[in-house]
Amino acid sequence: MTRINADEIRSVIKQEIAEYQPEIEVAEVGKVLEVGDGIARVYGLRRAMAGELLRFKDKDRGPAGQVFNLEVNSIGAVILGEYLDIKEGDDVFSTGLLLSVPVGEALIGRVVDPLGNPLDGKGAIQSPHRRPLEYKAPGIAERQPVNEPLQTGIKPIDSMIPIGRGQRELIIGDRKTGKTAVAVDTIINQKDNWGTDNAVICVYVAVGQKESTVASVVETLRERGAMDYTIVVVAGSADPAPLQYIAPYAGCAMAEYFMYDEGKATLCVYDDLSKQAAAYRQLSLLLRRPPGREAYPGDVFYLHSRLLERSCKLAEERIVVGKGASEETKEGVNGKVYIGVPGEWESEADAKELGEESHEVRILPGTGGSLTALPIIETLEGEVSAYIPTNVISITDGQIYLEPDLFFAGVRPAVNVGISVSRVGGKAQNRAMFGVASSLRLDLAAYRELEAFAQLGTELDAATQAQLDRGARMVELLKQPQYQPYHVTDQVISIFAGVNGYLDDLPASKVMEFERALLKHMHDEFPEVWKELDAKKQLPPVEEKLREIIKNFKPRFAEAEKEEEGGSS
Amino acid sequence: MASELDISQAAAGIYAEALLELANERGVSETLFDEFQSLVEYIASDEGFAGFMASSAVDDDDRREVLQRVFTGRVSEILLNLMLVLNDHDRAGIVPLVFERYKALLDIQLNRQDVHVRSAVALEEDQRTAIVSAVSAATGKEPILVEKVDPTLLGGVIIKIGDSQYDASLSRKLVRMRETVIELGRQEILSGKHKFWVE
Repeated sequence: MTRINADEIRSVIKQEIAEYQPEIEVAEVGKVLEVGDGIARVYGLRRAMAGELLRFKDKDRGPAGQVFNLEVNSIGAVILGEYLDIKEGDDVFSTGLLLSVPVGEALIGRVVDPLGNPLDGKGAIQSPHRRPLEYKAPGIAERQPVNEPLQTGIKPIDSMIPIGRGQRELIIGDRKTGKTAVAVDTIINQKDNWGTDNAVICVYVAVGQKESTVASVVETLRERGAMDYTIVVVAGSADPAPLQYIAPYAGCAMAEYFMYDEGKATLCVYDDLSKQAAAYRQLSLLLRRPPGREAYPGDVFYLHSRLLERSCKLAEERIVVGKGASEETKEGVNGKVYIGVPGEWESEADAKELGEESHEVRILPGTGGSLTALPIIETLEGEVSAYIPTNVISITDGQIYLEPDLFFAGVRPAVNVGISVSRVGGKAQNRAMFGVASSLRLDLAAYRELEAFAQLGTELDAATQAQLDRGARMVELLKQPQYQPYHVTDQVISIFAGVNGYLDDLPASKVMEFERALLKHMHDEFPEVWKELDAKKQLPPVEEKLREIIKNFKPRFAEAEKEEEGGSS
Repeated sequence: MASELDISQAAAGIYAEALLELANERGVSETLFDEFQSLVEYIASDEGFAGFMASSAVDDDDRREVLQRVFTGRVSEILLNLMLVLNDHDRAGIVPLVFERYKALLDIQLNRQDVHVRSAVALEEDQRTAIVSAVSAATGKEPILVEKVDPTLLGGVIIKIGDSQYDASLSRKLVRMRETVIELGRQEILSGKHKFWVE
């Protein structure tokens, strides 16, 4: 049983008091002229700079504010936090600092507000690291093209609209079409990567949402073990507009720590940016900035572009070391550091020159990190040519459109694969998936063209009917239940069965059941084939075996079906 | 982009400049200052009169008449004329703002500066002299002390010159000492745990 040695502690404190050197504190102080609605007008502080952090009432612990407008005789400031205690005439201290948030390992698994204060009741956040909210996006030299996939676990996305690590992919659609569900499934799908070199750290930023919705999202993540690698940043609809405005930047800063300092892959979901734009509009109008289109301020594009530009794939740095050199080695044998994609080839060439048997190329730890962004925008009545949607579409590297018509027709996820785009696409896709996906795209495109005929109910020739049937089955194949992301290898097998016609003789309503049963069969009886496909990430080596397995499985499935029907009737 | 207050202050600045120039020509800038200050203090104390000056519901001619009747012989000609000119231009309400700007310009002209001193107890004469000489040595201007007694300071002073505040109050020192002792103590205990725990 330990007892605290009070005498020792007392003597330490006594010594500190005796040795204490009081100093005169110098500060720049202004006065509050008017305050309300989350903003304040401040008199004085002539040397304050735009974006500077201010403190109201108490220099160290008072509510924080940020300088927004610099005017002739006063400053317009936004108040971050409780503004109800601030009165006219209160002191305002300038700090000479920019807004920053705590970042680091201590944040993982926690639910915090945009200033880093905990909201989950699990105790204070102790982190030695802080990062500024606004950070300059890396330039061209520090980046390299996106080359690794970020698997969402959602079949239509991973096959035809693949996302790479470092890409920005917009999820856009009307309310209640499943936008948050796509993001949450993506986060859950990273569970298998956690603990490996392939790990992805996720940040989910909830802006302007109902706290009850956020609570259920957090609970879902917790149930599926996703909170082990996720940070949740919340600025709910009842929170002041300034907090909703900075929330996405705070989430980005938290992800950037892992990207820059630890070279890890990260994912940032901004749910949703429409509400952030509305909060920014509120602040700008209250501070009397001139309104533009739809009453948004003139810099609402910059609001989103500077956030999304911070997502990137950082250039990997490589060195050539002797085989068997320790993990900690930071110097190459020839003293050279190879950067980016050209660096990859050069380093391989140099390693060969020095001796293939004795030398190898390694990526320097802490480099090559990435930040993938999944911003979410809500459209009204499908209007994607409204102001904010068009802004964000022009910034991101592609969009995933979710449509209410598809949703209510039972196609869930309600992805319109015809108009959804990923500008990074196949370059960051598993080779096996790339192979089956092209056929999938063609089948679905043909199906969409012919859909109109299907409605007419006219007599069709055999080829057209076959295309319609194939398309209908592929649409069925792409459906999946919520919170059940698919492993990419399972997706490859599933789509392979579809595009090679093995589903054509099944009724469309049985497709999902067949897929489930086939995958189970694969895992139970042919795990080594599955592992081979997963490891090699190429179809040709296993294609023949795969065809055999599916061909043999089909009669078994038909038998099982007959038995069931026989039993039930 | 300017708010109502900014526009009024800009206008007040122009009137104040003109007033000071005229007062300098007549050599009355400082006596005018004292008089102007009492007028503004009166406006601040009498809500009815302040409203009367500022309200657009009062007819300009009526106001002109009242001002002439009330103030002729009671204030200097130059101050009365200022009020009448402001009234003619429909700006009778900005008299206090004009005073603020006039004071600021006069302070620059006379190389003076307001120094706000908050102390726990009223200052002694020698303390006042010490503050005045320290501030004038630091700023090169003649300090005008504006004193306020604030017992919550517990001791010491807080001196504010313009935007800069120098906090030498006891209450602040105690707060900082508490934080420092806690932080140092925490580090000390964490680094040498065995000293403080007894099994």
